[in-house]
Amino acid sequence: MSRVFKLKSSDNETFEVEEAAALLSETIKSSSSTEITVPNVKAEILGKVVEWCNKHAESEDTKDQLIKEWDAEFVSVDQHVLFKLITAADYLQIKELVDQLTQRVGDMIKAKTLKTVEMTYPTFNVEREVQEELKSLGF
Amino acid sequence: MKTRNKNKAKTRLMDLPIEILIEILKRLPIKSVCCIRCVSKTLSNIVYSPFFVDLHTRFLIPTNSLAGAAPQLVLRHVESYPGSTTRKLTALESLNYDESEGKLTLSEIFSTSQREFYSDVAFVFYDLICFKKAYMDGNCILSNPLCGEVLRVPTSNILYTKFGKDITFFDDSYGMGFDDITSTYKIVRISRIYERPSYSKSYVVAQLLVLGTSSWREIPVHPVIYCAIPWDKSVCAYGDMHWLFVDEGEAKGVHIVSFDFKKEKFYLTPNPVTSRMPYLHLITLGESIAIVDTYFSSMKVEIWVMKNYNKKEWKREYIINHHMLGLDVDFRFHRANCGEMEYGMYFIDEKGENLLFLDLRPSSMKCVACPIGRKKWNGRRRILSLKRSLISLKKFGDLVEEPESGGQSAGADLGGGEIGQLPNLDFFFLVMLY
Repeated sequence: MSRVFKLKSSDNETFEVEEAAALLSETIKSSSSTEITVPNVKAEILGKVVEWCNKHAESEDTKDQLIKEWDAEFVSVDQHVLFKLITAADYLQIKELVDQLTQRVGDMIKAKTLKTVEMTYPTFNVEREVQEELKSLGF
Repeated sequence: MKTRNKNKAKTRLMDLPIEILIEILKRLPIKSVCCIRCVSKTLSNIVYSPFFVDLHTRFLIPTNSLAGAAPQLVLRHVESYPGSTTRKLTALESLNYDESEGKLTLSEIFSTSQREFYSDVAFVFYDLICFKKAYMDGNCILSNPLCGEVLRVPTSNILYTKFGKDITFFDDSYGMGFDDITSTYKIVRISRIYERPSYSKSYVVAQLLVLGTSSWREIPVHPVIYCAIPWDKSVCAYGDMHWLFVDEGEAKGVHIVSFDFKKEKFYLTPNPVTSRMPYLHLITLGESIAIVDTYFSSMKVEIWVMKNYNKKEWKREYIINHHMLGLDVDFRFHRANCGEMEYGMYFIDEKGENLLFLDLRPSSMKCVACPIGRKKWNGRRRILSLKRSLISLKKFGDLVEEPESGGQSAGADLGGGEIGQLPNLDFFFLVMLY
């Protein structure tokens, strides 16, 4: 008999989540109630997080190639969505999701910083264009 | 204030909680981290903090991740003045190869024509080089030549306590590694000593030092080790040290002796290759360890890569026939030294006058020969492959300070010889003399 959890977004939409998926979140795990409001996270984002949890609850084996491909697709979103997803996953304390999302951001920064910069030592100067590029990421 | 936030269409990276920001930054390669720290004061504070450096190193070293940081090649010359056995010219130059222009540039880090006391390389660990004295007395220094930091490594009394004062060092080798459980760096030392005056028996002793502390302690030596191990047949990977070692005993052959810095124990890693020692080289290649077999009898070079570090499984990844390389020069691989560089490997010939760059990327596999230039006098040239890290020697103790005296050089009382042109790292080489 599996419980059903209700997650409420900041714009008052409710998502019903099965126990297996919901317990991927440490926050939900340690909560006494089955109704959790996630502040500052809109329905669009919460929906995606629920989608990730559902997918990962289905399959135990995260090393599965199909899951990996699905995950790669999942994190290939616009950076604004990405940051919002991170905030949500962080609040809900879903470690695996946070890891995947932060890795993605790291990859984006890596891509912007590796090509254009020459590493000279001992001082290091950043080209103006790299600074501009990083600004676009929100630094 | 609240309405303004609501209207903001974009979420900034800097708005994320700091723990998340650190999670992101810790996965970045060194090059990117260096970029980040120039962008803003907040980021610079995060990235320069010892806490972050620890975290980043703990993530980087055990996974042996290169992640986009190309090794920096450094050329070390030691040449003897003609007619003199003691006067030498020593120089350390950084070597950069511009692929698009096919040009090799050397830029001097330092050079001196004084006698160098700490003249032998003990090991290379990321961007740190450990030098020891030619006449062994258990003293060594740890240096970061790329940013001019030098640290004296505390000396050990263990051998004298154990055997008394009447001992001679026969050989002495060192290795460095990282323990990601305690987040400490350690140096292991293997010494072979003879008791005077009989010289009848030699003893092999291993010791360990945690950097930042000042006492060494003795640790058990693996039974297969009967003498010290040459530094140039060693490699540091995954925070552990690995050496190619010839066993002259019953099980003749070449072993790979490894040291686990977490468990503080020696162990043997399987060696898939049967060639003899002079033709084998142990290097890192990308994120793995590799054995390069330059063969004596056949005109080929084979590279074995350790595909699974936990299971210690090797795979013969490359078989390179000499004639495939399309070289004009007759390059004697079996007498060359080699190491890792960006996208592949370099080979340097016996004389140290010719370099070969081997690009191992499947899409652009090629080989380029590059002369370095003839040596002025007899001597050796070695290439050291340095990997950038965030390790600062300052955390291990007081760095060697630049001497106060401006005019009189500290090396003057050694008698004779000018000091070569001193770039900004003059204090670094002055330490080398003591």
